[in-house]
Amino acid sequence: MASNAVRRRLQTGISSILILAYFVFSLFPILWMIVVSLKRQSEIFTTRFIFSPTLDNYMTVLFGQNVAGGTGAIRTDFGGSFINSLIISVTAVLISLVVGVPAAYALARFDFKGKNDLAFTFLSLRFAPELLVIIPLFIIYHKLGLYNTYTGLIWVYQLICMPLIIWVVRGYFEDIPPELEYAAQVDGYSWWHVFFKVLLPLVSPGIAAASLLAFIFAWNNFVFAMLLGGAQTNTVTVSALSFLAAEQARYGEMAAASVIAALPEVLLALGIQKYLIRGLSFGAVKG
Amino acid sequence: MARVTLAGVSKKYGKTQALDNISLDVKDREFLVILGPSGAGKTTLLNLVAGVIEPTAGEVFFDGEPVGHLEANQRNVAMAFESYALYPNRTVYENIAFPLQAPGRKLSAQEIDQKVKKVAEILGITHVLEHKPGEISNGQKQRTSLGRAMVRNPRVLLLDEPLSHLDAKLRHHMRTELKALQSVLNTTTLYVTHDYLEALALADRVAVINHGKLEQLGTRDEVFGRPANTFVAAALGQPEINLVAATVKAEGTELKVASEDGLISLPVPAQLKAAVRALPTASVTLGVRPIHAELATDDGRPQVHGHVYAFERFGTKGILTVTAGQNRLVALLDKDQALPVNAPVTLGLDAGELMLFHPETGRNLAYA
Amino acid sequence: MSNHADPTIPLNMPATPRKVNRWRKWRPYLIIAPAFLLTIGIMYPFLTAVWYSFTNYSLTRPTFEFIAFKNYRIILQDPSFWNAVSVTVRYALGAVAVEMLLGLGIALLLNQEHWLAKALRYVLIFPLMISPVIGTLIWKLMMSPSVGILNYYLSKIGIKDFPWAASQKTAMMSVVLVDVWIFTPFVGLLLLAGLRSLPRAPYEAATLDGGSAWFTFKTLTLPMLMPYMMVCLMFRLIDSLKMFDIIYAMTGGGPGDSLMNFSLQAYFNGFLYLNLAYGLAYMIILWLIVYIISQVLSAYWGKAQKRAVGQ
Repeated sequence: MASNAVRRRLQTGISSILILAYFVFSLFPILWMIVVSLKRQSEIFTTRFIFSPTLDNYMTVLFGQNVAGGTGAIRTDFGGSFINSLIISVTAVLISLVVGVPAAYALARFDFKGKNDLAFTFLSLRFAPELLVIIPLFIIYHKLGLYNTYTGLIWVYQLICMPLIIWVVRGYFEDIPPELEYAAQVDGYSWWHVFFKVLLPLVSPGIAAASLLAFIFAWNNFVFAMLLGGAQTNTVTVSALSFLAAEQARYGEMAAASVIAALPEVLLALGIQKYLIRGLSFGAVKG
Repeated sequence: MARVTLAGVSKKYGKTQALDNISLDVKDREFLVILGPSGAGKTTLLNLVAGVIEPTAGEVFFDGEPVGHLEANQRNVAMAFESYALYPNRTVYENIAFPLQAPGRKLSAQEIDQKVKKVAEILGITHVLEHKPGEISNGQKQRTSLGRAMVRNPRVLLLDEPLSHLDAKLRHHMRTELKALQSVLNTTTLYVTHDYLEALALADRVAVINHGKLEQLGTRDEVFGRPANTFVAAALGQPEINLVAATVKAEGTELKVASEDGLISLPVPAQLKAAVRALPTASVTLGVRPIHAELATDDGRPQVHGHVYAFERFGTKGILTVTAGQNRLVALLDKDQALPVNAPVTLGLDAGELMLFHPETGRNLAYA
Repeated sequence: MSNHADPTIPLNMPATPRKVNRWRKWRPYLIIAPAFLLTIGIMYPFLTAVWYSFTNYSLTRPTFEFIAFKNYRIILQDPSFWNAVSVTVRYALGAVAVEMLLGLGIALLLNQEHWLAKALRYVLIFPLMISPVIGTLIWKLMMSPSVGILNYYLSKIGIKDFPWAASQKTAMMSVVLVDVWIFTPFVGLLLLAGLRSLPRAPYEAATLDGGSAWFTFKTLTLPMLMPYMMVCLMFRLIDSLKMFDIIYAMTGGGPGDSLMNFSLQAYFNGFLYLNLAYGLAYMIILWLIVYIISQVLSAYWGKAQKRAVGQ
């Protein structure tokens, strides 16, 4: 029996090594980025992990001051981009909620002609190639004056947010037995009251998770913002890339910009760990 | 309080006919039990009266007024669901208080508190008022569900198998409690169950439903003593009624019904003779309840000779199954009247309680 | 059949005309209307896209005319198109294959009960939450010849000046690497959820019957995990066929045209050459491929679900 114990120890040892190997691969880039973002310009080219950290890069990126000095073009208003991303993403998610949660309920409860077709049409929005929609929208937006506007981007972002909200929240509605609604109706509550007082509180964890996930995907979007947005509506993702376009070697600031762009959602994701699986698979997998 | 009437009510789900042309009338303050096997459509019926679903045909009336256009929250009914349907994120207290807080009901917090506590006391759940449904037992959930239905003064009270998920002892206790509550509440009540003992214990009248159709609506005596057909006859009574395929024979001036091998032979009761003569063929289904079969004595009753198939003790009673030729008969005896397997035995049948049914439709000839 | 007390109202027709609750009837449609309208709003550009692809709409021309399938005929003879096919397919297959295997591996590893596995489950998601563009930027920095850390470590083991995305030979693997880095957690998380939801009973039975680890994996785990793998496959395959962000951020399609997949071609034709209609033709073809794949994989997913339950 000693051999069994040894074998098990060995298995645990090997799997631990493998797990660690993967996570080095997975997390190292993020950590390295943070390190670079905290390095002074002078120390950038060294590969030392022990250094004297500075927040100069962040200051420059956020507030446009050329604190660190040196050559290079003045960067775009990254702080402004951050606010743009915030406004657009939050509003897009809010609209998706207002429109999508009732739709999710309708798909969960009612039985009407073409219900499944409608549900899959909502889902197919998720699978549509972005550029397929962007090119005609480019023409339409110019005609309607929606190019480079918050409204225009918020509208397109529905393509990302709405299917997610509908499919995930639908699953949560389906988990509620219809008798619960009947009970509330019999208790004297009209349908609207039942929806707001009884149902919404029960699906609120699902709504919260779906909203966070939708926010993250909206925030991360690049193509819509690049091609249908302009200088005034630059989002964080587009701005970050423009650092590259300007041919300078301000790697520290690039790193800082990346960290600012990436960190919020990583932190948000921690909050929805429990509901992540349902959200990521659009409800196909009940985690 | 209200009189509830269903007129030609049907409900179809896709291809399935859940309810088929049901017409019945529940008197004001009556306790009507709706009895039937699972899938018979009993819950659908309650849901239609409550107003949470709409009929595909027919109309529901309260006190003669149609209520089809009224939604459930406008009908002033109360319902206790088979699955309890308690609000999982609210405490027992809040669950019971919920109907009293509905918009349009202007009750002060104090009044609500009084009512909730009173109901909780009657049902014996005062000690769990601050718990959530996830933390209490089935019996307590059951009573919370009942409490929520009782706390108002509804026109109609709808109870859907409220005792079916309780263990036998608790069920018995609750049955007694319900009977007492019934007189206190004095509301028109529709009570759904598949347990005929509950039906007989609680009902003013019983509606027997099968496959969405109303088989019979009558008092307990009518439904038990004069079942409309073989289904109703078999639905009430345990052990089930003995049903035997028989033929009508004339023996002189006497009319008799007998099994094919002649081992079971009984005279046709006088009131059924006309109906029997009107039968298209000579076949008929014969029905004798196990309580009307005893070990034979010399009292002139029709007798059946056979062998013991089995004897089972059943509390204070004993169930004797007798093989007589092609058929088996069940008799309800005392536990002390045990007999060994295969022993020869003679049963005496109470000819006055004999029931005759049409061989195809199963209809009780007494209703011809 | 039934004996009921005589009702005092006729049981056939109600005395008053039937009142109808219009609210109840229209409610489902009203509730879903906003979402429906929004979807129509999205479908409209899609339909115009199809229409435009049959024209020669270009921003360099003041007018345009309907030319039916000419665009498509040109495309199918255009070597750039076939290069795009090759690039798209290689990218998708490469990325998906690695992600599925690696994801399955990490899911199996993290499904154990020791502390390391449990702790790292929470951290698995991080790369997935980062915008692909930002993620590409990070890797681009790491791959940078001047300040990049990768070549620094590679030189220590004897590989000097690895070109990464600068060379046509290694550009594909560089972008696939980024895709794998970002999206393996997606597969890993979903399969981990699947593994954790598997019933215990068959495994206990197998242990009693004395099956080897590989045997239980092959006959028990794999079939029951199939529906989850189908979901992963569908999402990842479709997303990688469409991929734009990573390639654009990394090299903008180069070097040369080694990374010009469908989406990039559409971008170039539509926004750089300003031949919008031609770019749209690329996207319509891509969309058709995606649509067919989603239908096929959905069907397989349904079958896999049934088979998993039938076990």
